[in-house]
Amino acid sequence: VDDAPDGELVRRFVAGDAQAFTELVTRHERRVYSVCLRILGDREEAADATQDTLLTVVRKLESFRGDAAFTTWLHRVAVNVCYDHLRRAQRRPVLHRQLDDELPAHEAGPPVPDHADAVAGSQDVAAALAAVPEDFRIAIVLADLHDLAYDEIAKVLDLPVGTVKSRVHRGRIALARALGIDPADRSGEPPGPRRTSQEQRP
Amino acid sequence: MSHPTVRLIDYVDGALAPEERAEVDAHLRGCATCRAEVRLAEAGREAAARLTTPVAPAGLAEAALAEAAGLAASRAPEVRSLTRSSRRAGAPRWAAVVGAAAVIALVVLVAPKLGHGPSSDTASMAAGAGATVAYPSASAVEIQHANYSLNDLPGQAAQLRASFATSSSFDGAAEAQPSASGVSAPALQGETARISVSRLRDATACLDRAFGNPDGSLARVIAADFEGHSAYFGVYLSGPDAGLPPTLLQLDVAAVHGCRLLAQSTARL
Repeated sequence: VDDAPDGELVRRFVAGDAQAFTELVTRHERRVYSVCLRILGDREEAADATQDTLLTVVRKLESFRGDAAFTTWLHRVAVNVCYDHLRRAQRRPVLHRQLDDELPAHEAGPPVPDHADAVAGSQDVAAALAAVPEDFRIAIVLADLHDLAYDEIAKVLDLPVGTVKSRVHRGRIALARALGIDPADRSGEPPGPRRTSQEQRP
Repeated sequence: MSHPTVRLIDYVDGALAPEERAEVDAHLRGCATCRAEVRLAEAGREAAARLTTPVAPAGLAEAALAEAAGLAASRAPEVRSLTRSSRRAGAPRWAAVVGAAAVIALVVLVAPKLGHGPSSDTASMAAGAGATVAYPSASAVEIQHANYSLNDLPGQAAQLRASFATSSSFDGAAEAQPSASGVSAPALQGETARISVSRLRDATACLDRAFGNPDGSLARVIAADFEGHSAYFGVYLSGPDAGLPPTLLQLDVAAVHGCRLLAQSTARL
């Protein structure tokens, strides 16, 4: 196994070593698919976006300057491809969109065997995530799922750090609301009958 | 005191210094609005962190790896290593159709785009003039929001024939750059709304099921409606022998659901 840093693999690929790119794909393909799946909420769309991202990476790798981390740059390419897919999905004829919407967002794709979402709670969260407005959704996917630092996300999205933090914050709140979490806190209030978050769910 | 909105973000992230945190705590004790905001943001943050990162389905990198092999080969000092590296990188099936000549393989591997239409394939065929002729081969499904009818079919086949006849003249002339717009130029001209590499496998299998492994090389696959049914349109080229230009074009239509045979049309090239 090649343990050269990403930047070194990029240099080797640009110099004509195809195997270096294969290694980059092995390292990062899952990350790309994950970001696309969580942003797009649809397996088939995510699969297409992943392919588009990897193709774009091949074609643009020469222009990768190495002053940003490769993973930051990779996220930037992936997020831009996802934005394109979201735009195209909006342009789809209404009939097709309605058909798609009838399916739970994360099950709309082909039946790819994947037990990851069977983990308790993850499936609910994935469905709730689809209800979060896309700018906020992208921000929390990068921050809380992929653990990118705010300044990295700022580079990925080409936004000021303050805007990124605000989007992450509002995204978290929107996600909690979509999950039906009760915003009232019990500590400073008198005890009394209270609805559970379960009952609040639509 | 006004709500310390900006500091609440850092509070939720645990990024405040102890004395700042104490100040926010003091505010929270007296402000139900901010308490609710913090509670929701913390819950949302924990929920997002519970999401898993699923394993990507197999094969998503194939097109990129093939392109990488081609690009790397064009940059590497030794072009000869191309065939080996492209195979190692898992070149897709269409590359295998290409004849033995390394020159052809180079052009094909450098040329492909997602929208791999007949015109882009012409470059590879042109390069092979005098050597082996490779038939164009579909690398993605072209998705159209159009509805074709049975009456359209002979006309569509004839137009497809014309598109291959003009762009595949095998005279060695370099064709236009492969481009996405080149894809929608030939017949079955409904506007290509989207192309999908991942559906190619399903589409090919479906056409194979409907037609019992049709003869020839699958040059294009279009997903559109046929008489109101979701359908795959497979365009096959076949010829007398490997190495000679195709002489027959076959347009097969199969239902996406159930892979039933819907229609077929052929045209001599």
